[in-house]
Amino acid sequence: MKKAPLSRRDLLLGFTGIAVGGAVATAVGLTFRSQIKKLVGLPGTPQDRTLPTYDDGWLLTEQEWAAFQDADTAVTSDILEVRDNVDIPGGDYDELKVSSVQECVTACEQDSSCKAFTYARASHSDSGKRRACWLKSGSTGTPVTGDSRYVSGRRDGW
Amino acid sequence: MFVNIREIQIEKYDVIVAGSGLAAYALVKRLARGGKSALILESGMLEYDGTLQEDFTTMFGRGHFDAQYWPLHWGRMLGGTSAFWAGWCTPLTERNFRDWPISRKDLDPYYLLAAGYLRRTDAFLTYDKPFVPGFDYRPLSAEPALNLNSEPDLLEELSLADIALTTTLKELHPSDDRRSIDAISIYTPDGPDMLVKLREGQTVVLAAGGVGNAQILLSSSSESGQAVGNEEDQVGRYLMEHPHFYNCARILASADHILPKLPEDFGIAIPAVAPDDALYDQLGSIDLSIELLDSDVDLDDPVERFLVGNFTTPPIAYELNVRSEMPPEAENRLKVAEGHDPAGLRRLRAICYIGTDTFRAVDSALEFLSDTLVEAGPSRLAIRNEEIARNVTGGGHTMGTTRMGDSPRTSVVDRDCRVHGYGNLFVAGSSVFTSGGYANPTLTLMALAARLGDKISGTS
Ligand SMILES: Cc1cc2nc3c(=O)[nH]c(=O)nc-3n(C[C@H](O)[C@H](O)[C@H](O)COP(=O)(O)OP(=O)(O)OC[C@H]3O[C@@H](n4cnc5c(N)ncnc54)[C@H](O)[C@@H]3O)c2cc1C
Repeated sequence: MKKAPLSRRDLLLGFTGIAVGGAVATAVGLTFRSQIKKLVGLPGTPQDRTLPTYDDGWLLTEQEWAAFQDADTAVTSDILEVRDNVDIPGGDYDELKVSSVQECVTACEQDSSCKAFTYARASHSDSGKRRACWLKSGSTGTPVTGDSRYVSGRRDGW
Repeated sequence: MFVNIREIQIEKYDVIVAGSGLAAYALVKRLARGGKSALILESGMLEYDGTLQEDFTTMFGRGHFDAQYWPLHWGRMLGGTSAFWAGWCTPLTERNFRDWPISRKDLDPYYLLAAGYLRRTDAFLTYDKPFVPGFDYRPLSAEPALNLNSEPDLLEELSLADIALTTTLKELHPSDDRRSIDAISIYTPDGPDMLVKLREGQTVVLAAGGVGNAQILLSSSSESGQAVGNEEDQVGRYLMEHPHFYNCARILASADHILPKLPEDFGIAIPAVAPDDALYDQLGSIDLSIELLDSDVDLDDPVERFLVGNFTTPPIAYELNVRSEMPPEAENRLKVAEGHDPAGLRRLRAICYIGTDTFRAVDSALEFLSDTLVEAGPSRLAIRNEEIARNVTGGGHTMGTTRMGDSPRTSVVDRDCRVHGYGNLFVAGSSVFTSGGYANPTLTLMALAARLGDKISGTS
């Protein structure tokens, strides 16, 4: 079977859109020499990493990395009973993107219809779920314990 | 004007040109300035035709750029690939000529001419400003692309030039001593092949594209088995592209890293930075350009959401595309393969792999840029490994297959774009590039073609 001849469109594939740059730059007073030293020997030699790399690819400083991970640590709440490493399936009525467990806890605390929440840690293997916060109504499934990807909490006790 | 090859006196033209793309356009404009007439042979038609395209450009191949890749980037019609190009332009810089027998200075006047042919002011040819340590701001010119197919008058009304459509240069016949081309064979679909004896002083220029130029040479071997210009087995070697890594990184930046404002006369620009000379050396003399395209902060990315808190004013976001040099390697090459195209030209096989050094240079440059940003304040960079390691593509930039050099052992054409040894055979196009830098090739190939026009007409 002969395939369709190449269309003009086929040939235009790979063409990317055009963007226009602009605005004002500010000079950055940095010591270029100190930078250069780190890279001496390139390419071909594995270089000393100066920064830990998050697996999404953001190159963060050590302090930022630590702070970022801290935001995944389970917190306590007066209103909710929070449990580490637990996933509560089902019953979702809202899904938020948050930057910490605390933010998820606060969101649930402030909404009286929120009977429970589950938060997905930033280290979750599914990048689409990282730092997702599910707010849940009363009718949830049986909690799954021992799953370090999640933190969950309940308003009326476990 | 348009002519029928079977109804004209071919000996009246000073120069016979294969191909009607931007290389031929720049060449013929300069030839006319020097009083030389030209006959352009174009194997395509006035309009794009998918069947003709496929019949003529089908090839074989493997590598990062395979059999499907090259035919998609080699237009067969009046004006050639100018019907598809994006019009992005920037010159090669001095350092890119390191391995060439000519320098940037030799091309400077011709870069001005080429910019003019492409209807641009020359502001982009020299603009260059420090951006952050290690990188200079070197935006690309992105004025509307000159498309010779949608403006056929530009070719039709070239002075001292005629164009024969659906007419393919199928073979060059060398003299016995291989010091010149004595005759050429021409194919048209409506009659038997024509064998045309060249008269004294008649010159042939191949301007058939980065694949086409090598194809014509490699197909010209009927008499002796040794293809014309391929006496040292150099034709088709050093095949290069510009590896493009789209969306391979991202920056969240403070106001310190807003891009410089360009002069008015620059026109439409693609904002991009390139390594300064010191960093370029450290990257193994592999050149590259990093486009910084405006984007939105992505609050769905937990890290980005987290980082936003570090900025005193809302950060700006850039998506990064990297375009890099691919060092010339003799084993990346076009070779003759099984079968022929409708004109009888040999079908080709391309083997073209991007080397480790190129990937490492891209990775190192991004990491260096990241280190620079970290040292300067809250701006941060993310590298997307997948886009670098697995989603690399090309730009439709076919280079190196009739490489320029002083030694016939490692090149095909000399510094005047003349095929080594042959008095009346020249090449115009990115196939003559000794190395490719990162610059989109068309401006440079037009500058080289304009310079060739002056060489042939004796005005330079
Ligand atoms: C999608 C795309 C985007 C691009 N974007 C850019 C860009 O932004 N900037 C940039 O600098 N470059 C870009 N390019 C590359 C640019 O298009 C080419 O560098 C340029 O058009 C090549 O011009 P040329 O005259 O050397 O060859 P071509 O334009 O390919 O012309 C060769 C001509 O020769 C004819 N021909 C071939 N063999 C024979 C033969 N044996 N006898 C007679 N005629 C023959 C062909 O039909 C064709 O018309 C892009 C390419 C593509 C595909």
